[in-house]
Amino acid sequence: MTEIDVASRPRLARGVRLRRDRITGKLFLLRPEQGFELQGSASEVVRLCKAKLSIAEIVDRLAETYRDVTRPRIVEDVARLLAEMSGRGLIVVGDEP
Amino acid sequence: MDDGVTASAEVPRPYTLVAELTYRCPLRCAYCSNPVHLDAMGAEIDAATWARVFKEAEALGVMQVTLTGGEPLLRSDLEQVVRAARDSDLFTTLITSGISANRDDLARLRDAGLEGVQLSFQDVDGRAAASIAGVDALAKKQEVAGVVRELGLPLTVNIVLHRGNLPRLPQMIAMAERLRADRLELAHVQYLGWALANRSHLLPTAAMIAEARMTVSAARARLAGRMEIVAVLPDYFSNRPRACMDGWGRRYLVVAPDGRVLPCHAAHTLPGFTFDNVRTRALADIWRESPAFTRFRGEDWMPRPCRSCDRRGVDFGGCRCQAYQLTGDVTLTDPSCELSPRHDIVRAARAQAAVASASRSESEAIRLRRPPTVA
Repeated sequence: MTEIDVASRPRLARGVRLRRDRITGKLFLLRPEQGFELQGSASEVVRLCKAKLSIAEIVDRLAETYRDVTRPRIVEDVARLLAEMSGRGLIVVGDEP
Repeated sequence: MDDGVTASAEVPRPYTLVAELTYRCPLRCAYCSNPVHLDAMGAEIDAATWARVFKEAEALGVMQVTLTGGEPLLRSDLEQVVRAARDSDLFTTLITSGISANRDDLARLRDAGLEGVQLSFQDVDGRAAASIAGVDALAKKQEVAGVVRELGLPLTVNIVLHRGNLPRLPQMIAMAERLRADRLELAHVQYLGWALANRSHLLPTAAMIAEARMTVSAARARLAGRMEIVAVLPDYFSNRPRACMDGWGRRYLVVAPDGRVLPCHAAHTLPGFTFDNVRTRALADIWRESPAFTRFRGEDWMPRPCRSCDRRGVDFGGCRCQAYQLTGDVTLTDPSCELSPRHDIVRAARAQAAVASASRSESEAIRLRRPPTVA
């Protein structure tokens, strides 16, 4: 995986919508004919992306919540999550259109 | 969205509503999944009724609606229907042939809340498309794909595969790339209804399927991150049945143009069923309690060898319509499964296709879909 730019502001890919599942209360990313349930910290990361925060700011917020987790570990987790979601075309991290 | 195997005792929640707005269509595809006999069709339900259906579906847990048909653009109230779907917070996708589409209408649908368009193509060769669908609309479809992209809507290109167009698979993938599709769906014909009647013309050979697999996997590797490719190969060659509708009455609801509620779009071909109608019964009651939905939900109905098979929670016994249309018995294991006692039917069809494909002359003409008589 390439080094991530912590100043970049990840956003939902074109045509992807975030909504809550009324049955389970969990967040879903929806796109045509597909839905992805966001597990665990993925839903927090996506919510923070929606709030237009940079990766550094997202890490700051998560560090406040998860005080017993080291910052490098949080950076690593966020990078992995974003890479997975951008690989599926759900999130755009860089300068792509 | 997988929630694992659902125990037969508890009622699952649906995720997707397939809204068949009309069976009217300018195309006459020889593999159409609409009913072969449309005589029993009632009148189409109106936009206000659809609005109520969307609300009831959302309350049950549905998050996605696909507006399909027939050709949904033939409904003059489509904009109202789209707005109603979005008012119910459903992710709203239109499935269309594109033939009667124009820029202004599509822009209005987007403004009403449409969130994605799936455009169907028959072939990359206009003449071949006309021989399977009765119409050559290739140029028009390509133009509509451009409009969809200009309007900023996600575009899925859908192509139904069969023996006649499989040799042009690489060109189909190239066309979807050129049209800048977000997603390419390569869905092999399912041999039910019209397609079963035309099976000897449509079923490919094992060698063609093997080549198609390689073409698709190479394209997937090359296009990763740019265009997603979803490929559904024919279950006649997979040795195990496909998980039809992800299990009966488990994730999908289909509402037919006349308001009947079905577990799958072909369920009206099955004998011994009566389907409730949204005009007269609440959707939640139909989903939870109607015999049409409970009959094959869960595992209690399963015959041998499904009953003790370790894949029963993966493929759910396969397709009920296929079991019925091939064996005459709706409760049997889908014959596409090599463990089915009636797998010989599928093996014979494969052998017949190999012979038919080797001989140049087609003894019998392909049957195009009859236009529906009830509007």
